[in-house]
Amino acid sequence: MRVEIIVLICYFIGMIAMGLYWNKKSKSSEDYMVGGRSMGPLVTALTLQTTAMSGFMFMGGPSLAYQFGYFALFYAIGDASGGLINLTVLARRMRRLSQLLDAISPIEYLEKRYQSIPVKIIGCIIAVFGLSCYVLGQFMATGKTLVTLFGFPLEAGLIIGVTVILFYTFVGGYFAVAWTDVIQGFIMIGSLIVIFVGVMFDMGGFTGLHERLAAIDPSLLGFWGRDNHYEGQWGVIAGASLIYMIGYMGLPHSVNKHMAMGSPKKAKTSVIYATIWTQLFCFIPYFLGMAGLIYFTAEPQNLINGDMELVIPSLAALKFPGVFSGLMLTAIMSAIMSTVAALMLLIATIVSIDFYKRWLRPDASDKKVVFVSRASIVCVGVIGVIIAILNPPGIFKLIVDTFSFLGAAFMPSYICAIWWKKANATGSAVSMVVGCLMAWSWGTFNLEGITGIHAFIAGVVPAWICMIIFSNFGKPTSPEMCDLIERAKGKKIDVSKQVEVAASKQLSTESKAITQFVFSRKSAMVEA
Amino acid sequence: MFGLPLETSWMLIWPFVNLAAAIIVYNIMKKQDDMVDDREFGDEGDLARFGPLEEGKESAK
Repeated sequence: MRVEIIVLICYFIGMIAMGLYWNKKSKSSEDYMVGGRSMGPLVTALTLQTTAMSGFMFMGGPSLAYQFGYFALFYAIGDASGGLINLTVLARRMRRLSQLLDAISPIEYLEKRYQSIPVKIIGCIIAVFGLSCYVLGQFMATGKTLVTLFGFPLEAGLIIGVTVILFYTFVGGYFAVAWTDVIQGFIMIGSLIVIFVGVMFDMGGFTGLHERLAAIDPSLLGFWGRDNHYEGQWGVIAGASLIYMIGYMGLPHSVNKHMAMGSPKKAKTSVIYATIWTQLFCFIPYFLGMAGLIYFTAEPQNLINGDMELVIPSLAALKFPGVFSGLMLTAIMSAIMSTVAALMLLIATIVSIDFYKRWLRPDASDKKVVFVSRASIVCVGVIGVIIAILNPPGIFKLIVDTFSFLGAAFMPSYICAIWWKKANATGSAVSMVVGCLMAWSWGTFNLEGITGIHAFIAGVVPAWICMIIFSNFGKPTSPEMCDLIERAKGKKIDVSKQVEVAASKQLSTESKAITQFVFSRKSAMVEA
Repeated sequence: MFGLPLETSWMLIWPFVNLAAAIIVYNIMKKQDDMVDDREFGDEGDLARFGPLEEGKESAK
């Protein structure tokens, strides 16, 4: 059996074991869906980032750099700042407000904040549709990885891979998803760093890399991409940067990590962990894509299947065959699985909390809610595998636009929920509909090529305009909700308590000094 | 820088810009967190020794 397959099997066994371990910890629906709101800063940071970084970072991103050179780094620039901005803008207040509203799902959160059933219905439809497309895209990436890199037949590979994800998500819930994300995060970053160091050593550092790229085509180092492909297209550049810089604040499976934090004060440490991880993880794949162009221009036979998306696995096989190559391929599976698990758990949360408990059985017990959640995970998995195997034409195009679709739809609603009391149900509902329709139609009708404007920009700008304008209509935010939003800013410590804490610190310093003085006097007297 | 034209060489310092921004954000958030009582939201911190959370207490601004 190939070494890579052995490494992969060990990884799968490890993930299953974690699912079984965390099964015992999940005692309630709050445990199952948001980890009992007890996640520490490292777990929060890594689960946030690994969920955000899917197979695109190992396959799509490097292939973009392979094709266009330094232009691809505009995506990395946005991505590398995304976690920092997401945590800074949303984390603390959303953690507080979600608890005050007793919201478990990010759609329930929107319903309760905007006090609106239409917001809930629109949010559920957009979220379930968008998240399902996202899951489907990841399943297709799973299939491609297992077929091309491990030599599995598609159906068998998909069923095995998805079964492992289903198992630890189904059994362990949020705890399993978050902690497997931590392990996957380390696998992903560790393997990338090792291969990056090896490749750059070969190249002679950045100077050597740039010299060799310039020898192939100097425009690879330029602003507009190879052959100045994107010359003058500022809208595409703005979209490439902003989509990941701010787009994560509109993804339900990303923002629900804030709801699961142990306390709001953990956010600042998560900012540090997330930023360190993303600086390493976001840029390296693109540099490897460019290095791959150098290697495989000289020796095209070493690029697996001649497929640019397989540039990183090809580099791993070339530089570090054997166990490490297996680890690299496992890292790709990690990236995909961490995203899929989070998406499936969130779809299940929405179905069980926002549909089942909200409409069908409001008096359902916690046990029943968890059961429905688990059943939903299985259904999504089975339907997703069937569609991925059938691979109907046109499905891939739909999936590519999903990030823009979700980000444009939800971003104004999540940000305004905590930063703008005047944002109301009308503003939220209209912004969600306009944002998703604009982003979807931009992608479907290939308007990006004609207008030079990225689908995300085309969706999010009108969405914001609608939020601002339409919040002037309809029912205003209630005084009670305004109070809760005020409380979500954080209750200031009483002045007397502040003074007590500061004073006690001063006194302790002084009392220490006095003790030392007295002791030294006593010692002197004793000696005398 | 490292043989890159000026128009793209700034991209290589972007990670350091982010790290510096993260440190600044951390310090700002720390100052803000020190002024806030989050025991209601699962924080224990220094104020735990003042006893359990008192309901209905007005906070000073």
